[in-house]
Amino acid sequence: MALRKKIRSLLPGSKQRSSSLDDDQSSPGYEPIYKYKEEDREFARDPLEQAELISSIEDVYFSDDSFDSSRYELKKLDSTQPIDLDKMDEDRDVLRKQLQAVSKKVSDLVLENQSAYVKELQRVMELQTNLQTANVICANGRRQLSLAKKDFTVASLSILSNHRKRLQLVSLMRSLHTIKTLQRTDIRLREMMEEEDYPGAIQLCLECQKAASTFKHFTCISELNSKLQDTLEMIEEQLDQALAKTCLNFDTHHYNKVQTAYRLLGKTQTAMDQLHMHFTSAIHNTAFTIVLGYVELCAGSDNTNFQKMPYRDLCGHITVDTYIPCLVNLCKALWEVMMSYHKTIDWHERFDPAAQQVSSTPDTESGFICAFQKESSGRVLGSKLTTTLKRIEDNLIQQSVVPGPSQLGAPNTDEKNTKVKFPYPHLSPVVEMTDLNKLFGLSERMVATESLLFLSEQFQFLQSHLESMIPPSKKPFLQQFYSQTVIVAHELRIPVYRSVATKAIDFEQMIQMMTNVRWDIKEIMSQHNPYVDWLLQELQLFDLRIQEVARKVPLPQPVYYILWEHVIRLSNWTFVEGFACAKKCSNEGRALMQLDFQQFLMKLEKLTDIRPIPDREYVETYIKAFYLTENDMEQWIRDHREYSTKQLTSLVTSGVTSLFQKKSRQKLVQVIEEIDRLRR
Amino acid sequence: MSESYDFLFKFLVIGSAGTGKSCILHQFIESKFKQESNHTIGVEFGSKVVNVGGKSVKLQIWDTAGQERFRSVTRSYYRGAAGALLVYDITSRETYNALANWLADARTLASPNIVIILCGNKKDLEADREVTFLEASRFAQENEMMFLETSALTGENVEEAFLKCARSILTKIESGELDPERMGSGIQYGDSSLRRTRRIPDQTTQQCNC
Ligand SMILES: Nc1nc2c(ncn2[C@@H]2O[C@H](COP(=O)(O)OP(=O)(O)O)[C@@H](O)[C@H]2O)c(=O)[nH]1
Ligand SMILES: [Mg+2]
Repeated sequence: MALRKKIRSLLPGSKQRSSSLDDDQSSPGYEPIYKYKEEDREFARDPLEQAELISSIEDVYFSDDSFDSSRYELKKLDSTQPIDLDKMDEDRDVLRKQLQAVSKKVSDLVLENQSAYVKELQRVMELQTNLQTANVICANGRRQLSLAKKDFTVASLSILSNHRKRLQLVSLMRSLHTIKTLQRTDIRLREMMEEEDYPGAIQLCLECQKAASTFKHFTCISELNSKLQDTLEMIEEQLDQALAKTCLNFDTHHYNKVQTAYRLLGKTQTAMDQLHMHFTSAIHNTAFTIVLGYVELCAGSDNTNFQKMPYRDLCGHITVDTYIPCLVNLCKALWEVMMSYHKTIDWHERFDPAAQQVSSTPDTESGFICAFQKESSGRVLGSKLTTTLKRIEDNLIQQSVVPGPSQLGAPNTDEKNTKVKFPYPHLSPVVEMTDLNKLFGLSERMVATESLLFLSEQFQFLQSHLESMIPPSKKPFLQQFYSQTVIVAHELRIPVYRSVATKAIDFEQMIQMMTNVRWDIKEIMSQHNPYVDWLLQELQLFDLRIQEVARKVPLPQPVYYILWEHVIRLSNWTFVEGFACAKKCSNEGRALMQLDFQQFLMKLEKLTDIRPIPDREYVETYIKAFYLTENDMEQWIRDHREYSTKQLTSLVTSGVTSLFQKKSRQKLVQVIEEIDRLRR
Repeated sequence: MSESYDFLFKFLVIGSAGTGKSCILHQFIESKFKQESNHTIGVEFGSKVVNVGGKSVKLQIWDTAGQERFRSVTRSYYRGAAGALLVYDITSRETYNALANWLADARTLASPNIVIILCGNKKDLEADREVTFLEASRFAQENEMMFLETSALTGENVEEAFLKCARSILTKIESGELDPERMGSGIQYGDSSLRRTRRIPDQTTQQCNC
């Protein structure tokens, strides 16, 4: 029915199309399916006729599927009337013609749409394959995505989490290592106790406790903490015992350690109270032991238990024979205690106030080193020399003044330690250490120092002999003596003589003179500045004074060298410092600096044999740096840390003829400040 | 500290870079060849007291560098100079060709009485010679300069160059051609006692000139 409707709908407006169908009809190979009267073709050739034929088809034919055309036509026949064959024939023809027209039309339409249909079909097929491909791609994509998800995301996440875990473990391990170290320090602490290094032990213990408190979240720590507390208490006990020891045999070194230890604990007052108690019991115990000894000696087989007897009663048992020796012994023993008491008081009078000032540094500079530093205002001793001096002082020098015969210069043999100790050296009032004309005791300095050096040289000659004579087991001691003491003796020259050079010339005055010089001149000068003459004059005096000293005491070449080398160095440093005082400086001013320095060098070379002149480049490089261009200047500043911040700044800011842009000047100043920060 | 000399002459060493100016100065002052001669920064300065014709003369020698930063003040260096060593390198024609420019500078910036000695340096490198003695000698004559070939390496003629120049200045002073008292002459007397004794003949010559 749909088809029919379609056909019909095509009919009215498709006249033109029908006309085009004409040609098709005539095309070869066209065969009608049904043929009636082959010789008389009933096909309407004319499209118009055909259209007419089609339109003449009764509407009812297009009604619906249930339409039965045969029945319809048969019903038309009037049964009342006789059958008119002709009429029937006629009707049949009409119908046939109509059928043929419709057939033709349908056939035409089919033919006409055939190629479009084929094309469409092809596209449908194509679409179908495309869809299938798409489906496959989608499926693959999904599969791969899920694979990626599994392989990448999950894998990376697990790597990350593993990494995190690792970091945590590493940090845990670090903590555990620290804890392990903390645990082990207990052993070290005991060792230190054996070495009687109480301050060290206490400090270590306190540090450990502090460190342990940062690991409170570990359960094992609480145990460690209590252990450390125990150790600390044990140290205190031992310390108390050590304190008690001083009552009978005062030793400065030992007492120093004990006091330092108490200071670390913050218990100096307790120490004092304890010490009083210890002295009381020391007196009681020594006295008791001595008396008991004599009583037991005389009592013989008497079984009386004297040990438990009160002192007073015990004394009653002393016989007349033993009375005097016992009293003598008692007095001796009590004298020992009294001496220790005296030494203790003396120690407190001498060292206590000073020690309290430097309580933060347990090992305070000892007397020898202080003496050197006071003299040369600064650290002048090499580390090896410092250690040696300290060791000598600790082992050989009596630190307390004990009234007694041993004080009069002779070595005092300490009975307990069997160590020979010497009184602290004192400078004879005859030695003039402040007289510039005598170069601050240069001759005495030389006698002392050069004698010591002579000794050290002789010892070096003797070394192989000594080694051959000493038992092999003692050899290391000898070698140590050589490497730690004999060898370093010559280092003493530097601090001893340099301080002479330092004080010999008033370099402050030279700076003053240099500050007054105008460096922003417009002419090249031919005459140097007066301060150069002043310095040269001072140096000449210095030389004369050295010669004066050398007339009385032989002056070894190395001493001469140290004196001159240092005084020249200081002169050169003063030159740079003085140049750096220039607020304004022109190129001509810079040339004048060169002139001044050159004049100095020329005259200096006549005054002394020292070659090369030490730190000469230090001055020349500084003067010339002024001529550098901006770009070179920055690098130069970075490369020359030997100049002070002030000196560098002056270099950049003193130029008068705007050699640098203001901006780059600021930048250079910033560079200098940055370096200055790094220096601190 | 008083200086014992009769005169002080201000000298200048000029010429293209690399001709050996700093080496010549060093050789003169230290009697040594300066092995690693860096580029001169700013100025070098040296002074030495020499004996010329029975007089002790302090030579104050400025060795300048050709840096841009420094050009601006070259004038003040020229102004004060009594004598100059104009140096070229006998193994480099380029440095020889530049002489005319240097000379022009010196003549315009320095005092008209400046005594110049031309020095053909690196005389020891005979094999690489590019400038003959003869042509340089002629050039010197044409431009009223003295001439020597020197070697800062061997020291040959180095002291001689300074002495020759100093001697010429001294002669000019003695003949009255040069007046040490004039501003910017580059010449000064030594200590004051000498000045007094010297002043009298100088003033007489001056009067003669008038
Ligand atoms: N063979 C030789 N080389 C020289 C002599 N004088 C200087 N030189 C070299 O020439 C170079 C430049 O010298 P320098 O004094 O710095 O030249 P300046 O720029 O004129 O000051 C250096 O490498 C010197 O070693 C010389 O007399 N003989
Ligand atoms: Mg140079």
